[in-house]
Amino acid sequence: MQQFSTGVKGLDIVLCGGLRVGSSVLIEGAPGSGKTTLGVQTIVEGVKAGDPGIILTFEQFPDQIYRDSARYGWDLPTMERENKLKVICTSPQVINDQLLQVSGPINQLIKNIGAKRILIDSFTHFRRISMEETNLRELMFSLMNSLKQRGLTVLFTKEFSPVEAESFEEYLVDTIISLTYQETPTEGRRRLVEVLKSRGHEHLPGKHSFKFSSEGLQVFPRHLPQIDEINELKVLPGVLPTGIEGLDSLLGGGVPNGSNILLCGPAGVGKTTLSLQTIHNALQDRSRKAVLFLHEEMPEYILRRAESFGWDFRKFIEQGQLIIKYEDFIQIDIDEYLLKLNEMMQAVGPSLVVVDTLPTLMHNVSHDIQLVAEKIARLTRVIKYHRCNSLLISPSTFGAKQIGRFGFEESFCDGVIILGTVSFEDARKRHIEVYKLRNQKHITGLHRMEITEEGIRIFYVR
Amino acid sequence: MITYNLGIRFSPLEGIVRGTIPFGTTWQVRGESGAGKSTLGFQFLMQGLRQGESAVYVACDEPATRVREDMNFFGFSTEPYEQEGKLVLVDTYESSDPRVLCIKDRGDSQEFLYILTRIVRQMPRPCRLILDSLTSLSAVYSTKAFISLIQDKNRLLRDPEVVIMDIYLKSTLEEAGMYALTNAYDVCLDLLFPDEKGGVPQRSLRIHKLRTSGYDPRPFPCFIKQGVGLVVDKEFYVR
Repeated sequence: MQQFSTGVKGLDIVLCGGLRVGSSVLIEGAPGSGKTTLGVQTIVEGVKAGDPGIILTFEQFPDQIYRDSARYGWDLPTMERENKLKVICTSPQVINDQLLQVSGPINQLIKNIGAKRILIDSFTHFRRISMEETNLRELMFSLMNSLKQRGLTVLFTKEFSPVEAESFEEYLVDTIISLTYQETPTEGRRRLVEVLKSRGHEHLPGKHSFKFSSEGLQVFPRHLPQIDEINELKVLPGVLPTGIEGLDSLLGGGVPNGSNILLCGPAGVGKTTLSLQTIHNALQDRSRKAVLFLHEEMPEYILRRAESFGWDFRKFIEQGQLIIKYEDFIQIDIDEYLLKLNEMMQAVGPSLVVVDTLPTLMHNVSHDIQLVAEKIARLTRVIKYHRCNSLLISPSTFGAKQIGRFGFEESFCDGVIILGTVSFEDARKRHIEVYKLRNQKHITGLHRMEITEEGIRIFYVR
Repeated sequence: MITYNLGIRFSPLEGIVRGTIPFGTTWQVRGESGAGKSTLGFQFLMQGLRQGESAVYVACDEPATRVREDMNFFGFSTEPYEQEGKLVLVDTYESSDPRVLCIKDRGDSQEFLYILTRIVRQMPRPCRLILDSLTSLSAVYSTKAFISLIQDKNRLLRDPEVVIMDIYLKSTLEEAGMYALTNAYDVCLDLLFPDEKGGVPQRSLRIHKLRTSGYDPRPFPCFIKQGVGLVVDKEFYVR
């Protein structure tokens, strides 16, 4: 079985390698969901790979398609001049008549340019020929077969109808790609793609988010087989010291290598400071790198905060040891984030990743607690896969009984450090507790801590 | 290579104790107000410093700067030793003197132990540590928490080259509590006012407990001498 790339990297992952050569593909979705863009991108990718293609459109003039495609850097007129592509604006009736004639103009064109892929945008327009389901089914069947017999991969777009539970098209085609533009309770929308069927090859089930980028569609698979299908990772030896004397003693030497540590506590208790101090201390070893993801505070504020303790983070950035990534939490698509995190970890190979904060990172999926659990599990898995340590900050609600913001994130982590305060006469005092730490002997119980001019100090001595 | 004689030299006990008391021991000094406990503490500190040892003095009853003045008034000049890094004064209130280290909240046992341990571990060896007095510290803890604090302190600071002297008012804790505390010490010294002679209090020193060697358990009369400290009449029972 031969597969080819759609040109949409993430979609190829979802399709476990791409579309099957010579298959029929239905791209369905509501208006504006990206059906035509996906179809055109697949044709353009074919042209780039040496497979000429044809775009048949019933609703847009070629100029409109040229203009829309130019946004993504696809120069369709040049491709046409080079005889690698043909964009034809016609009617369903004409196509129907011509395709049945072996020597008709469309068939001649297929032959002339050696077309391997064809996009029919959209099949919904064939309903203008007949309203009868039986006739339409027959029409689609013969159209599809006559093209497939010529060795073409056929892409149909189809408008999604909410009243139509299922349609005959779905039975006839080999692959169905469904695009939706879902409203979320956080007043945003998520674009989602789902492969409902892929005859002859596997696909990743479920909905995957996607977006329109400057290069066309980009799909962000909800799980990555290379990471999520590995069931065993050896426990790494050694520790990453936090460099905070008392904390390392409590932890039994430091954070066990390859651990995800959840850092909880109410606002202002010192979670970010503890993370910054750990980064500062870890990067004293020039061979180490760290990535700090910020979703609340701007990088400049964090740099200044580090400076106030005498920690020169700008130097680490210049030395290529530290990457600070700020992303406004309202804009975050968690699947895109995870995909990029994976790519970044592959490229950078950090020893430490800090996420400040976990709830803001999960903001756009926070309405669905199961989704949050799935994404946190994936986040920890990606970090673990790359044999890295992490500090995941999850502020707790003041007075709440649960440890982190969601109340279950600790299950996905190897360790939990809780920072808290107690009221003492007319003052509040900070304390720290190693609540959980897998694979390492550690000291339990509450221990007093303070934020001093040099950073965090923990009143623990052995 | 410098080698130390790890026997503690302390003149008030010479002649009463058979043999020497080594470093690594914990001492308890108990007595009524005015019996000379602090003077004994100053003397213990100065005799160590004068032999090249180091010392840490934790002032719990009054500001450390005031303690320095008291010692100077008595004839013990601390300045050269402080400048040399051989003597560290620790305040359990706030101090504006940069040479005086500070435990801001003595009611916080974790802070108290952490800072004290850090200071003592950084001192040159051998080192004498004097806490004067633990009575005022006991006021901010329950009996159980206080005993636990003392036991933790002695465990954390136990070092073959460090001797710890804790000073108490006699009735710091109720009898059962004081009895439990005694177990935390190797050496227990009582400063007493047993008799009134001619209306003048007659001080005496008695070794109540000594784990490391033999001793004479009887009370020995003593007096305070300016610039020296406690002078014990060791011939009292011979005469």
